[in-house]
Amino acid sequence: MITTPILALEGVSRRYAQGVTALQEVTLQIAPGVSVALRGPSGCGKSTLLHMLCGLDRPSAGRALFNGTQPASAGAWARIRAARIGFVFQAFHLLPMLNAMENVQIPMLGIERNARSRRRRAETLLERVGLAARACHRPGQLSGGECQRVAIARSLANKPDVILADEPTGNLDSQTSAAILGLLADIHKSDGVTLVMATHDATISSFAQRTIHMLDGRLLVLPSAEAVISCTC
Amino acid sequence: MHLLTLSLRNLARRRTRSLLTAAGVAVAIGGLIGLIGTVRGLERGWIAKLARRDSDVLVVRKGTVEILSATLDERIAPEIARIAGVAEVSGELLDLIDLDNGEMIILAGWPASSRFWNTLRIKSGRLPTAASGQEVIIGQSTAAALAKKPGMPIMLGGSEFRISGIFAQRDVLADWGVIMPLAAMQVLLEKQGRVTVFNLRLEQSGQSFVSRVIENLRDKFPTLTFTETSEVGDNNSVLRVLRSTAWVVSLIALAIAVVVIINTLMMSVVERTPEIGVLRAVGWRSSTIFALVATEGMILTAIGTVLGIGLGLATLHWVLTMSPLRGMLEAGLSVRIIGEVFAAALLLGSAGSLIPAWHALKLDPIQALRSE
Ligand SMILES: Nc1ncnc2c1ncn2[C@@H]1O[C@H](COP(=O)(O)OP(=O)(O)O)[C@@H](O)[C@H]1O
Ligand SMILES: [Mg+2]
Repeated sequence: MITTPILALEGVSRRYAQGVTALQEVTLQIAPGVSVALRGPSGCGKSTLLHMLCGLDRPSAGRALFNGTQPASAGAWARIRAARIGFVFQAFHLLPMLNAMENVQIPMLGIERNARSRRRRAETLLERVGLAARACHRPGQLSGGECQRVAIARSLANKPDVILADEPTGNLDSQTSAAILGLLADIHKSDGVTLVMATHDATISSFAQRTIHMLDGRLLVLPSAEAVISCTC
Repeated sequence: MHLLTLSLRNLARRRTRSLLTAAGVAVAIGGLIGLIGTVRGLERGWIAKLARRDSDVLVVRKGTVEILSATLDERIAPEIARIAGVAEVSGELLDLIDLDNGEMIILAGWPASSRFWNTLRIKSGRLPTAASGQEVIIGQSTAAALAKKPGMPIMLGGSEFRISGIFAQRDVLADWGVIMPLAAMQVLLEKQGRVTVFNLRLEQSGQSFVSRVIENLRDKFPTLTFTETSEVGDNNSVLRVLRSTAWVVSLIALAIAVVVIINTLMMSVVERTPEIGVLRAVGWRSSTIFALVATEGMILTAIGTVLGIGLGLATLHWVLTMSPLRGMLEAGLSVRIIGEVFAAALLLGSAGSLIPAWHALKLDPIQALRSE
């Protein structure tokens, strides 16, 4: 029996106005609960693919599915991202005028109505990423690794089923990188979230169950490029 | 943390810009309040009150734009008095003159027999005697400003007069007037036999009675304008011009305030493109992002409007107490008008914020999130 993939692309292409093709007919299925490393050189289309998976960007051709169905609109995708997908960026993208506690609560606004519950959950999450003591610090007062921990706590705000991480260690030194990847792998293991990490860094593969390679907007699958990558491990 | 916290933090982040924007709104609203307040003050204080006293109808020459520049022949008075329903006709000569110290005051001339004399509250000295021909009574503020006491001389229009007494608070002339017998003022201004207005008192004060008498008067004296004193402010041409000017200038001021808000928010939205991208990535709905930006606009507008009302009231206070116009107007701004200005500004500011809020939704923030 095949479980419904939580994330899926069917023949997805993304072309830009200038004739650049960032993705070419990518077909991909990711089963719930797996961890996947998406590897490839800079510019090969990893970020574009992650954006397709969560509806932040729309395919020029093909379809993107979440849990087996194609969300009907940008609003439907927004609701899915709010409730079920967490995103972690290379540049952290924390809001500079908010402290760690407040940054973690950003995704909860409009989801969790009770302000005290938001606070309590943010406290728990900061503790989880080992930053309880830094709750009142703003991004400017935190190191890169600490910022990324806050961002990971933020991605967990609404108890997502999926975490998408775009070069989560790209701005960090190797020691901090290992700690961050360890944290993500740990969250994957204990919470059972589906984890997709894009990177050009080879060390990441050891933190994921499966690795997908990308080049020039295509997935590299041997022996046949037609094959569907079903990461149903 | 709430959405409001986020809006406030965003504004606090660019404190100088936010304050300058609020200041821009404040100047616009302050100007608006100052203007409206001055015009209303003139309306209530000066021209309206010229006639309020205890007269029912004010008579001026037809076609008069500025009440002080027109004069009437004194001898019409007895003819008007003959009309049924008219109890009393009292001529009055009015003018604005400069004192030696540059102060502008209202000079009024009343016939010796006028009942207006009895309405003055004398603080010191006594009323001028008509016989002397060179006596005046002055308001207490004028007296204070010039350091005058009864018995001292005062220069008016190049002639020397003697101050017979000082009066307090008599409506329009408030404390800032100088009053003298009509005959002496006519000589001083070389307006012998002329008056500025007739003040009529009618036998009854019922609305239908007053309308009937006025109807009759208009028939008999086609060259004169008869205005119920309660409507003087509404019908005065100078006030009408001032009022529409105030309106136009106020609208321009409001428009500028709105443009200032739009400009600031627009800049702030564009420079925050990556942050708006993050909000999208964490699943914020368009309506929430829209609300965030619009709230920032409303906060800016509210701060600017509150500051502006303060500024406007301060300006008005200056106009009422220290400017050359002082004594001619009376504080005319009600809490209600201020409330209306506040509401209108907030409404316009919010409407203006919709444009940058809309723009925030049109941005393509995905590029800004892309990692390299
Ligand atoms: N707005 C755009 N217009 C044109 N080309 C773009 C645009 N955005 C991305 N690209 C191109 O698409 C390709 C894939 O980009 P991206 O997904 O960011 O790659 P990666 O994340 O693997 O570095 C790159 O060649 C990039 O230059
Ligand atoms: Mg990338």
